[in-house]
Order: sequence, then structure tokens, then C-alpha cells
Amino acid sequence: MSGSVSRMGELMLPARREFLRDAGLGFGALALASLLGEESRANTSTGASAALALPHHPPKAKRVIWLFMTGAPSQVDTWDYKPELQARNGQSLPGADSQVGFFQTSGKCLASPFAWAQHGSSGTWVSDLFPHLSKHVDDMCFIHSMHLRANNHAPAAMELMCGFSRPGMPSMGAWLDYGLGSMNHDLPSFVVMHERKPRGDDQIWSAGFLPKSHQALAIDARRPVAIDNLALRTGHTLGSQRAELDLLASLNADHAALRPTQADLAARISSFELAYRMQTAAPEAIDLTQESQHTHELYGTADPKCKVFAKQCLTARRLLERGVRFIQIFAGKNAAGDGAVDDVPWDGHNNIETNHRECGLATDRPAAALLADLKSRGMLDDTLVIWGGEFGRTSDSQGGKGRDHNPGGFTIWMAGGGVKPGYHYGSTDPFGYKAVENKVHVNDLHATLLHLLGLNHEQLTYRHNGRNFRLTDVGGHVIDDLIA
Amino acid sequence: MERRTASRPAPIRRRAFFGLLSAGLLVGMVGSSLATASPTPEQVAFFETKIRPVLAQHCYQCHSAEALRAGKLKASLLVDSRAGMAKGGESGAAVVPGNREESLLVAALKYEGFEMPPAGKLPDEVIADFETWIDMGAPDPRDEPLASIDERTIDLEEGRQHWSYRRLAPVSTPDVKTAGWVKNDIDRFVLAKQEAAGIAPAPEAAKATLARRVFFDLTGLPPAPDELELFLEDGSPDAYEKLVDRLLASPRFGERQARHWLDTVRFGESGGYEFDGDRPGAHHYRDWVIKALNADLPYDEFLRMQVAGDLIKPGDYDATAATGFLVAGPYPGQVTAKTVEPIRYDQLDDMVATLGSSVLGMTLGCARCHDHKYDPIGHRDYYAMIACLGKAVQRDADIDPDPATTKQRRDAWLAERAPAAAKFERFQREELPGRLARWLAADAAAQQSAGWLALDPETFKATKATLLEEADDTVSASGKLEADDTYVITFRTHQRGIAGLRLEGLASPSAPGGGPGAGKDGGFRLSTVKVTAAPLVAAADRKPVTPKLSALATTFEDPGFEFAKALDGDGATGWSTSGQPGREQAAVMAFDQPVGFDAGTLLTVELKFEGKEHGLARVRLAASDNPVRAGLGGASAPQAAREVAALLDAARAGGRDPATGPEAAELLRWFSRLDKPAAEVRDALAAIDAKEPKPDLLKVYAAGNGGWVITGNSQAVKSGSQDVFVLARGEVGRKKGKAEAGFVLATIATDVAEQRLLSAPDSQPLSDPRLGLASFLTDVPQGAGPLAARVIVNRLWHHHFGRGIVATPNDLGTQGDPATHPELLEWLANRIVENRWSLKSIHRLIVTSATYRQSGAVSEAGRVKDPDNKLLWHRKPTRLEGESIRDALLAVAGTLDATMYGRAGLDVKAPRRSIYLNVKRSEPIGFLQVFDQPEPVQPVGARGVATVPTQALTMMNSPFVRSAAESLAKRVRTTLAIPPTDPSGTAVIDACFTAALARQPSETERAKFAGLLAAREQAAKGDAAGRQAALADVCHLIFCLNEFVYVD
Repeated sequence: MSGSVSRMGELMLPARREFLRDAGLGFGALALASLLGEESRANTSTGASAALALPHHPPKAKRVIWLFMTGAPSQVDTWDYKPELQARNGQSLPGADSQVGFFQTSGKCLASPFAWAQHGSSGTWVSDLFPHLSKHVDDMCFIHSMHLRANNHAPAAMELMCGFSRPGMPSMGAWLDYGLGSMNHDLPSFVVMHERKPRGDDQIWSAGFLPKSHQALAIDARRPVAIDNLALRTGHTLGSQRAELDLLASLNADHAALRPTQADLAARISSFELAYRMQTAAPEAIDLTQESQHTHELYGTADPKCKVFAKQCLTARRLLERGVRFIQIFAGKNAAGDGAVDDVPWDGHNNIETNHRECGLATDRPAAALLADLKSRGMLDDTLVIWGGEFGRTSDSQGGKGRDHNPGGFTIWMAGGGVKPGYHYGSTDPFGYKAVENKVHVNDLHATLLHLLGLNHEQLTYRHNGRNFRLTDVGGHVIDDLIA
Repeated sequence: MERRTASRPAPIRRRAFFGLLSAGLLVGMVGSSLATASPTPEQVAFFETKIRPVLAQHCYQCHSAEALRAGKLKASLLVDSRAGMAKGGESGAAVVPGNREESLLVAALKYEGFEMPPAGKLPDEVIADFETWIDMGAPDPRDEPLASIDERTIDLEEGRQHWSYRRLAPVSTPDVKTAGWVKNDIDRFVLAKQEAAGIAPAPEAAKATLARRVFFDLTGLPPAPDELELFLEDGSPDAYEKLVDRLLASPRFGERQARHWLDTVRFGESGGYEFDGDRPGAHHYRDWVIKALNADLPYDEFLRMQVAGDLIKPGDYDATAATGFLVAGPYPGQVTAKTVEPIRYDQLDDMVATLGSSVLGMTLGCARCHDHKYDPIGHRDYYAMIACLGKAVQRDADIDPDPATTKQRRDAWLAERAPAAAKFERFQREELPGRLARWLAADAAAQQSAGWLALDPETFKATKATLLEEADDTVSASGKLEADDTYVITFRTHQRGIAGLRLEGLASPSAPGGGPGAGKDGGFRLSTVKVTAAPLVAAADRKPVTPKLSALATTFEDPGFEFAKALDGDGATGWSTSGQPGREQAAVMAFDQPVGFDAGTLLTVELKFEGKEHGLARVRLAASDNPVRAGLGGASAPQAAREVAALLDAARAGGRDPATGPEAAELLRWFSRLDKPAAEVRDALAAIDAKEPKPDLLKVYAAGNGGWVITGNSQAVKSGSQDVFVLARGEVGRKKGKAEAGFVLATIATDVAEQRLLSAPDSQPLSDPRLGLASFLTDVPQGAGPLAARVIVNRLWHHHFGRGIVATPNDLGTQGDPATHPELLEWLANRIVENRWSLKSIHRLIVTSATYRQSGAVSEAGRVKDPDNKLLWHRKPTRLEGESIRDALLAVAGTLDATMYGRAGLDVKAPRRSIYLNVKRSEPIGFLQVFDQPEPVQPVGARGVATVPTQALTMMNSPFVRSAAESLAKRVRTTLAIPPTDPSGTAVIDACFTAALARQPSETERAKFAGLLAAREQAAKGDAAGRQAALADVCHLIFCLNEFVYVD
């Protein structure tokens, strides 16, 4: 721990900590910076980012969007083609391990019910669930050998996003905001979007023990009001509010002048100014009517099968453009009777075919549109897109047509943001059952992602209850092979 | 991106490698690699279920790394690793894979040469398992190296030298120069340091400032204007001390201080994880904390109850509720056989880590996998501590919160019942025999002619439909009339030799098709009939019987859907009568053996209507001793008379008095339907009996001893053992032997043996080590009492100054912050012990000190020499916690509902204090969350204080704050009696300031607000609502002031 202290330099000195706490990292610090009339963006010499002396090295990615396929897609029905599994449908699965699934599995191979074909110049095999995304395989960097520990949804989602399979730990978006600060004046840095909340709820995107300034703004697709308390009260106008805020600022300034040792009084004054700006900036940022008809069609915002995710992806692109650093969308739509429930739509326990077909229709087109849109705007180079769920599924069947949970081997892909395009890393065994070659643990993935964002995962620490915590706990290796 | 792709060689396709191999070869590779390189999952399963538990239970005590460390190792043999087994002990290899003859372990188990385990030979089947396992090649996944654990030897003596682990020592107060400033001894410690640094303390704060500070600190609420006035007008020298005493005695004190404690014990009212299931009885713990703090329950008792209240006072409401502490942490909502054990160890970890942080200021959780890297907390200590908690699990206890009242109510009821009971007995004794005799003579014979006995339903229930009893002993279906229903109807009878039943499906005007079926066309399909006869009075020779049924006759049946099909036990076939809407149908069935027990029978008739057809709309059943003769349409007699006759016969045959003998109750039951005086006396008693008071049981979410509780799982999972094992690296798969109960050795006095703290005064072991743990925590001479005292006084200091004497209240270990005033901390720790652990006495000491009463005035010396104010030379403003901001808004608005205890729900608009809002882990309350409410999953000692624009948005725009502003405006205008259409004037501004900020505005402030108010009122042009809104705007802006949320 003492090693970390010296590596972290000023951050861990008590006086500096006191300052940061009083200034309220993130927004508060930004507010302080803007109060002083300075530009507030990451890498400047003011505010929290400068105090943290971060990033540690030049980043390849500035933004992340994680398309979280809630409920866990099956690797062998999406991106991990296994001819051996296809050929041996109904036969015993070699190495079948009754400890893998969450419930009971048959030990018998279940061939993928989908049609497979090769795509792109990389010749990547993709099932017919993704007619749109398959056009982008040459931009994708696949990890076929992901694995983690937890074998149920909520703990695994926490493990994938926070590095620990129990609640109370900060998620990656919060860590990034803590480490890098904000890139914008008037929007939060970390945004989560969901329809039905995923199983595990807010614990998956928690700021944990980090200051609350790093918590996510969660946008619930079911609610008419996306962000709380943005709307002016009845009878109020921006003009009348401005008059009040001017009065407030002068009174608060008088109050603060008498208390010169209290830095956060000034931060609070400017937080009202920031809030004032957010009232117009945030609604503008999520206003999809400003997008062209062509863009709406590209994403499929009118397609009843995928319109929810389409609107979320399009909103996300607008937010990314405006300096939001980390966005996570929980996605999927299950069919009746496939064994999944709304909070884990990809969870095809009873019928992998009907379940994944429906989830594919709900996610394929918008995700592909997002890739195309980011690329056409030149944003894909420094925006990291990640597609994946909390674990994979068993190669043997559950109840004949379904698949059970499998944290032992699964596929995620990334695109843009400094990863190798059209690249495949690691592999599962010939049945797609367990990761065997170049295995990538969640800690390794996090270490690599932080590296792409300019952060050293061993140096990004926060002291809590007597210990310096990391996103990567005590593990994690940066996988250089993934980096372009 | 495309450019880069083009310039890159073809991407690597690792999977293509597999594509070149033939399928057969591949499968062979996979199979063989699994067999040779490591044990197969089946082999591991065998080892884990059959071998390891036996080794752990019977051998590790003397043959493991743990035994080695404890100096208990025998014969230099270690059997807790594969390497140890192969190496063997003094006599040679314990296990030779594949060769049971040469494996000394087998010989020892068989008591051939050695006799192991010494306590007694293991069962033959266990020994056979070991032979099977050795034949398999002794597959063993325990691959840790022989000196298995990466040990850090803790130097206990050195560890104990850290200040917080030392025994409590007396402290003398330092001398100071400016003794006149000193109000109590706290000030001597603080002033001595300031004088040494050349800093002078700030003067005492103005009375109003002090009032607002101490009100918020002690009660979490601002002073109400009348309370403020009372204090400001009290000119006596101890006016402030009197105020402090009033506040310490206020019920609001416990509500405020409980919130601090709940932070440190990760209190929540739901399970977290998946589903986040509610714990409706969890708030009893919170209520208990409030009550205990208000009552100034001594802190040692406060802790003892939380750790072991259920054992100390079983069944007591307060003691039970207190144990909510142990089980307040998150717990998964889905548990299967595969996850139950790791989840149990996570739960124990949550308990012990919380105990460590909240009570001991120790990071005990760090020793789960290995010895603590910095503090003297051994891996062994961790498992000793969780072994103390090994039996504790969560439960919903049914508790009577007020047994005294329950007893009073019961006594009152018994007194009321006595005369009716006496009357009843007198009737039975004196009148009943005569009435029965008269009835027998007059009416009994008339009842004997009918062939059927109409059965009077006792209970009736359907899976879907609502069943109701009607006249004529019929049961009719209403409500959800759907296909695939099941009716269960029961009857009591004292008839013997019942040989069959008649089932009638009656017309029903209320059914869609008029009956007999509940379908639109009057259709039904009865798929299965099951009859069970059970004895009313259990006896060894009376076993329930299920007679086989056969069809005797029916009024009508569809071809292929005969009545016999309802009796064939096949749910897919059944009896139906199509095209007969509105017509009554009947069917008679015979039993293969007559039924009827000698002390009465409970007949259960189950009618299943499986498939797509409906059930019957209205049914009636009758019984007969000769169903063939009674016939399909035969007459039926009502049940009561026949039952009375049967009971009289039974009594007479046994030579008993029917009116007072064992038949009496049943006899009266039936006879009262025939005889008015009997009914009256029986009903009178029944009416009182129905009022029998029941205790108002509460479901209390608490800890208790038991097997592991498995909740919310979709599979049957057996509850687990209560044993706790030491886990290498914290992994459930790497058990190192049973963990013995004990404590963190560094917190025990050097001359005290650990086991003594687990023993009763008579040296017998305590019934449960949890009791030992409960006393150990506050045992000053022998146990962790000194540490617990330091931790709690530091917490109280933290809450009154915004920073503890140690700034890391959850960690007083070597990695915690150093104390700014170590002697003061020690002095306070001594005080709380001397004051019999009274928390209020320490609060009082702190808030009446001159240190606490300082103003915020900034001195140049202080600013230069101690910019962080560590020496406490002035008072820094502190921001209110979210709960206090919300409570203050409600209080100032005059809408606060002061009701105590219970659940106030999840709606921020509920007018209750914030502590009563539910803590649902997946649904934090936005208002509180935005103001830094911590996540209720880990102990939090010092909350973060962030400043974010969402707080400003909340204050500016949220309906909750606006509504408080409107309420205050209304209140002020009403109090000052200003007519709705009149201008408000400046008096209202003064009143709003006093309510919200406990002071009058300055001239400048008054002028500024008056300007705003005048402009807004002018715009309203005499409109009453507009004027009111203008005043609300003023109130709203006052709420937005920094001063409203920062307390000087």
C-alpha cells in the first residue's frame, strides 16, 4: 500500500485529500475551475484531473460506450462458431461439468439453431442473428476467451462492471470519472440507460465508496422525464430564475467571504451556475428531433422491434459528441416462454432460438447504426464501443432447447478506440464450452480498457476502510495483443 | 479505421487451427487431457463429497498446517494437501495412488497397525470410499505446496504496541496558560496543543449560532422559533447547558444519532443482489437503535444485545430486534446448491467485517484470505471470529412486543368467559340429558327412513373459483369460473360403514349456462374424484384410508365420457354431460371398503376438473351405507339428527354418559342444530371464544441460531452445517480443518487465555461462543473493551466536529490516520468506561466544551500555522447530511410529522423524518442520494461531502423543495395575519429568516429580499395566489442559500 502512495504522489497526502474532499471531486472541482474563469477539461492544469496528475499516459480512447447485452448471450450462437458442436448435436459433451451452470444441464451438446456464414475480409463467422452487425466485423476486435467467477446475473454483472461480484464497489464509469474528470461543462460524465432495470439494479453502476459526484445519471426509457429536476417550476422562466440566481450568488458570496477557509462554499456557488446551464444543455443533448430522417432510419427508431434500443443508441451518440465519457446501455428484448424475464432478456434457459432471435431483432440494427454513425463522424477512432453480456451460456442443453449460465468462456467484442480491427483473440475449446487459449479474466479486460483510456490500473486507487482499492482488485494484466 | 485494416496482414484466425484437425482426434485430445493432467469433475466431486469432509473432520486436527502452527501436529503427517499425503509422515507415504495395499492411510482407517481416528473407527462404507478413491488414482485437487499457506507470522507483542491495541491507561490533563477559557477538561487537551503551536482559540459563538449548531448536531433539526426564543431570552449562566439537556432528552436525539450508527452498520431493508427482496421486518432494528440511544442504553449493553440479544433474552422483542445488526447486510435472492456454501461464507464475512469496522475500528475483512498485511490480525483470528458467529443466521421471528399487555388482555378475557363457561357446563350436566331423551322419543325415528345422508360441508376450497355454502348443504362456485380447477370439500361424520357417495351437480341460476357446469353451455368435465377418510381423533390403529371408487349409476353421460372415467385416476379422461344446460345431474359411486372411524371421521372429497372444460357450478354430496339400495334418486336425510343418534349409540355402547363423556362436544355440536336452548348456550360460549385475544405478533427480521437459511431459491437446497472451516485463501474448495471459536489475539490482555473468554464463571464452555464474543467486545480488563471505547468516542467526536480525532473512524489500525489529539482520545475513552458506557454523558461533555462552542472567526495565526484546523482553533461550517436537509425543509415548512418508528415508504414527499423512509438497496431515494447518502452495503464511518450540480437542480426545481417553500410562505403569512391581497412587507422576510436560519436578516439582506418580493408582488397585481407565490419565491431562495445547508 505504501508503494501505491508514492506512485500516486500528491493524491494520497492527507492535505491533498482534504482539499479534494472539500472541493468535491468531479463536478465540484469543475465548478471551482469554471468559477475561476478557466477552461475545464481533462488534461488541463487546473481542477481535479491536474491534482491527480492523470492520465498516466496518452490515451487512445477518450470515450466508452458499453452495449450491455443483459441476461448473457450465448457465445456459440453469436460470434463463436463451433463446427464440432454443430456436428454432435445430442451427443455427450466432452468435459461436461455439472458445476458450470446455475441450474441443471443435460451434458448433451446442443447445436446452434442459427445459420452461420463468414463475413468481411477477416472471414469472421457470424450467426444470422446479426445481419447488420455482420457488415462491421472488420472493425471489431473479438475476445473469445472471456471468463469470470460469478454464475448468476447480478453478481456477474457487478463483477464485469465493478471487478467484484458483491455490491458496494465502484463501477468502471465511476472510476473513469474519478480518474479523468469530465470532458464537458454542463452534462454528467457517466450515463446509464435502461428500460426495465437489469437484475442487480443500481449496484451495477454504483459509485460505491467513491465520492457521490462520480455517480451515474441513469436514464429510464420508460419515464417521460429523462432527468430529474431539469424542468423549471410552474410560472418560472429562465429570466426570472436568472434574477433569483444573481441575487443568490451575491448573498452566497457575502456569506463565503466571511468564511475564507471553506473552499466548498465557492464550489457550491458555481454549482448553481452549472445547474442553470444544464437545464438547457441536457434537454438539447437528448432531443432526437434534431436528428435527420436518414439518421432515424439508420438506427430504426420507428421499428417496433428495436425502437427502444435505437433511441438509446442515438441519444448515446449525441451525448458522446457532447463530452460524456462513459455510457452503458442495458439491452435486449425477450420472447414469451423462452425462460428469460424482463430484467435479463438474453437469458434463454428454455429456448435459445426464440429468445436470441427476438433479442437479435431488438439490438442488431441500432448497434450497427451506432458503429456506422460514429465512423462517419470520425468519432470511432477515439470512441471505444464494447458489446457483451455478463457471461456466456453452456454448450450443453438445459431442458432440451435452452442453455444455462456459463461464466467459464464467452465472447465480447470491441471496436474503435485503439483496438485492433478485424482481430480475434483467445479461444474456447472445440465445443465453445470453456476458455482455453489466451484466457482473459475480467481484471485483464479492465486493465486493458483503463490502459486504452490512459490509465495505469495499478495506480488508479482509492482509499476506503483502511485499504487502497482498485478496479482490478489484486489482479489484471494489460493485453497488448488487443491494442492497435 | 479502414485504412489501418487495409495495411494490416490478414487477421490471425486461431480457431482455424482446430478446423484442420479431424473430429475424432479432437475429441480424443480433449478426453485424454482431462484424464491425465487433472482430476475429472466427477473425480473432484467424489473427493469433495466423500474424502475431503472426512479428512477435515477427523484428521486435520492433528495432521494439518493449522495443527503444525498450533503445535498439535502428530507424526509429522500432513493430510491437508496432495503433496502431504504423498510424502506421508514418520512411517511413510499415507497414500499410494492406485495401490490401496501400500496406502498406510487405509491400514490406519481399518485399525490395522495404526488406529485412526483415535476417537473411534469410521463406518465401513467410509473406509470403502477411501479404497475406491485410491483405486481411482487418488485424484486430489488440493494442489497447494506442502508448506501450504503463504504465512506472515504476526508478532503479537509488537502488534500490541500500536496505540489503539494497548490496554486502557489513565491520562492526566495537561496544564494550560489561558485557564479562563477552559469549560471542561476537553478544552485543556485542545488548548495545550494550540498554545504549543502559538495559536489562540476563537471566541465563543453568538447564542443563535450556537443554538442552530447544537440543535442540528444533537437532533438533526433546526431550532423552532419558540425554542430559539426560549434559549435567547434565558439570561442565566447555564442557559446553554440547560438547552443541551433538553435536546439530549428529546426523542429527536435518538432519531438523529441512530442515522450515524446505521451508516456504520450498512443498514438496509432489502436483500440487494438479484430481486432485492424486501425485508418487511428489518425496520425493527432501526427502531430499536433509536429507542436504545434515546434511553441512553449503556454502550456495552447496546453492543451485547446486537451481537447476542436473541441468546441473552430469548423471545424478547427488543433483544431480538437488536440482532438485526448481524444480518442487515446484503444477501443474494437466488441461491442454489452450488452457491449456498460460498454465499454462507460471504455472509459470515459481511458480519465480521461489519463488526470489525463499526465496533473495533479494525479491517478484519482483510484477513479472510491471509494474515493482515499491516495490523496484527491473523488469518486464524478471522476464522476464530467467524466461528463465534457460526450458528447465526437470518430469520423472521414472530415476536410479541408487549407480553405484559397480552397477559392482561388474556386475563380479562378469561374473566369474561368464566360465567358463560359455567353456564355451559351446568347446561351440559343438568339439562342436556333430559332434552336428549325427549328428542329421542319424539323425533329420532322419523329420521331413519331415507337411504342417503346429506353431508353438511365443513370446509370447501377451490384453486380458482370462490366456493360458498348455500342452503340444502350445497356448495356453489362463483368468481373465477375457469377450466382446470380443483375443489376440495370436507365433511365430519360419526357414521360407520359408509359404502358410497352420491354426487349431485345442481342447476345454478347464477352460472353462465345455468348449471350444472360452470361453462357457458352448462358444460363441465369431472376428470378425477378422490375420497379420503381420516380419523377425527388420532390413534395408532386409525389410519386414513383412500377407498377405491367404482361407478354405480349416473343420470346422463356423454359417450366416451362416462362417470367411470372420472374414477379411473387418469386426469386426461372424465365425466361430462353435454347438451344438458340447466338440468341437474347425479352420479353414484361405491367404495371398495366401508369407511368410518369409531371416534368420528373427516371425509375429504377432491373433485378435479383438469383440461379445458369447466367445473361444476353447484354441488352436493350424500353418503350411504348401501348406495345400491339408496339409489340415484333416493331421498336424503339431513345430517344432524343422524349424527346425534350415532353419537348417542356410541356412548351407550361404551357405557358412557353422552352429555359429559368424550362424545359430549360433538354431540352438542350436532344437537344444537336441532335444539334451540342447546344452540343458545353453545353459541354464547362460542361468541366469547371467538374473541380469545391473540398477541399482536410482529415479524422481526433478526439473527437466530439455525442451519443456513436458504431463501428465494428456485431449487430445494438443504440447509448446511453449522461448522465453520478455515479456508485457505478464503476459497470454499480449500478447507483446512474446523475453525475453533476465538478472537483477535492482539486485542486480548497478555495474561488472559483466549478460551477463558469463552467460558462461564464455573469454567464450563459457554453454550454458544457468540455469547463470549458479545462480552469480549466491551471487556475492558481482558478483551477488546479499550479499543471499542476509543472507537466510539472517536465517532461521537467525528459527528460533532466533522472530523474525528482519528479522521478514519472505521480504522484505528496502523493504516488509519494518526490521531490529532491522542491523549484526549484516551481521556475520553477512560471517561466513557467510568461513566458506565453512557453515550449521552460523552455527547454532553463534548458539546458543552469551549472547544465546541467556538465561533468561526479566522485568526491569522491559525490560518497560517494550521490551515486544516486540525488543532481546532475555530469552528468550520459543516454541510448538513441529506437527511437533515430534508428534515429541516419539512420542519421549517411546518409539515413535519413527528410520528416515531415504523415504515414511511419510499416516497420523498412522505412528511416523516428521513430515518423512517425505507432503505431499499436497489431504489435509493433520489433526494438523499444526491446529498451523499452512502450505499447501504458496507460500513461507512465518515460520509463523503460532494458538491454537484444535481444538488442545485434539486434545490431549485424539485417539487419537494417548492412545496416546502409554499408551506413556509403560507405559515408565515397566517402567523403574521397579513390579508391575502395586501403586500407582505419586510416582517415576513424576518420571520422566514428566523424559521430557516435561526437569525434575523442583515439590513442588506432584508433590502435584497424585499426588492425581490416587491417586484414579484407587483407582477402579481393584487392576485392573492400570485402574492402568495411571490412570498414562496422568497422562501425558496432562502432554502437555496449556502447558509441553509452549511451550519456554522
